[in-house]
Amino acid sequence: MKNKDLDKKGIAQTTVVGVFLLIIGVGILLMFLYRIQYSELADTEVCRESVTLRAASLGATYKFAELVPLNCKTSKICITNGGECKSNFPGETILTKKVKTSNDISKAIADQVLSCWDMMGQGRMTLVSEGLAPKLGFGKVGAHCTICSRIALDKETLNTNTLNMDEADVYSYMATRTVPGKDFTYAQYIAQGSPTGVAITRPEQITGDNPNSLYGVDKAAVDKEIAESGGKLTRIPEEQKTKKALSDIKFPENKDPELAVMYVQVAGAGLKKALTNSALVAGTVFLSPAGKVATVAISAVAFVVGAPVLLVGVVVGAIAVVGGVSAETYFAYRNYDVSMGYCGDVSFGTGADKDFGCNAVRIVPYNLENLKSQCTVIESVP
Amino acid sequence: MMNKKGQTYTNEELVKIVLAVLAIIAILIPLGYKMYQGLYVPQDVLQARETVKQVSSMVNSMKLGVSQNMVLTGQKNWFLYTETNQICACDFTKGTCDPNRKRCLESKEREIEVTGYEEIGGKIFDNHISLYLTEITFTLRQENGKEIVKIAKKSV
Repeated sequence: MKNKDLDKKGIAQTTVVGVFLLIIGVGILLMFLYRIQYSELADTEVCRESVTLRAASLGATYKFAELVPLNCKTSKICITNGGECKSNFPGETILTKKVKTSNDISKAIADQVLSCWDMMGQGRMTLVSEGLAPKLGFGKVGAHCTICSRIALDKETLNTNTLNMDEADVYSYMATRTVPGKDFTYAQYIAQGSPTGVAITRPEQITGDNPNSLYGVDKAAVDKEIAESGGKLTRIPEEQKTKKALSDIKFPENKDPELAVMYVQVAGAGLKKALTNSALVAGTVFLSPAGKVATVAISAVAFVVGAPVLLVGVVVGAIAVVGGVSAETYFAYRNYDVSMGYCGDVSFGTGADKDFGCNAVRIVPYNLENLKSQCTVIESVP
Repeated sequence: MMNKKGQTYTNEELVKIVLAVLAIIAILIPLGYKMYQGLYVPQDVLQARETVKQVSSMVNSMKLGVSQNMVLTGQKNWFLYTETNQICACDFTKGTCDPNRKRCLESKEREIEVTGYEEIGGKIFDNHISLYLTEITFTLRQENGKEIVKIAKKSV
């Protein structure tokens, strides 16, 4: 009898201790989840996973892809030398990047470009379905934008005796500086990451006559491609090129200058065929297509010019950046007009092959005009 | 009834097995479905929810004499309006607000006034603003001791 009582007591104590430990465990887990919930890393990972899931489901069936939301929240970044940018993002979680030099400004922006390119699948994933655009109220073609980050420039603290934000040159930074922890530049990283040899291009350097300007692009291969294309591929005429260097373009003059780093993928009507061509995206998202298509895509990138669409009325270093035509999207997008409208800087130019689309990360001043001119659908969560 | 070891189940055991199966069918499966529903938020709803939150934050941060602008980047067919001093966004794809696809947030500190009109499905809806690529302006005024924030499309 006594033993039984002791046993019961023991069991009760064990249960209490167990429950107590369980509560502590759950508490620790919740604290951990709470901490990571609001971190930049968590947002990035959530987005990356939704991108993969969307691409995979598009490979499996168009209908299912409509059920997969892109869960990419726009990061709010404040580049400052001591301020807060609160007027840009009232009541929101802001990631502050404190800078001391114009190079720091360039780095902060370049990091966002790189992060955006990585997060959205490095131009390898098809994220737009034929069925999705009409569901969102659009036609069958369009430019789908994901605003990865909005970058506020705290003008007051960035223009001092020792710091001038106008000296920031994102392009040069990406072309010459190495990615932290790696032994290659931002430009090389992006070029290597692309299955088709994406280049970072600076408008005035894409003359085709400047052999030193194209990162990750074999100029001889491009010339050969043009020669073999039978007139299908042409160089963009000189007069269509934007001569303005990125470093010459000033940051916005408005009160609270703000940039958007956004990933653009142009959708076309031929997507269904494209997906048939590229088989299931699921499990093959890192498929690296080769051969003719890849070469053509490289030449497309080689002839990147400053898109008039983008630069008209634009004050900031628009298009520092990254354009790419992945093989998948090369197959995918069959609407030349739309591609030209939204991807003018990653196009073949007049008389070129009309079957292409583009993936690009763009830096533009964050305003309605730019968003309207670049995007038909914005998929990011504001 | 015999179990695998050739032993007979008692009535008590049988009842427990039946209850366990019923519990799985009646509780766990619907619970799993509800959890999926809870976790799955359509893209446009996700965007609308965040937009409403941001508009609300802007309303609360307004200062007298200073107007603020905001670019709305939601989907087509979604509109912003007020409802008993709540700021709401709703899907009007079917011509009227779909109550299942509506997100609202109450403003406790200030009154909100949405001005302007939109044509939705051939009908004019007063005091509605499209969420699709629209720039809006916030202005704060005081009236009879009340603080009222007016939200209107930014005039070009």
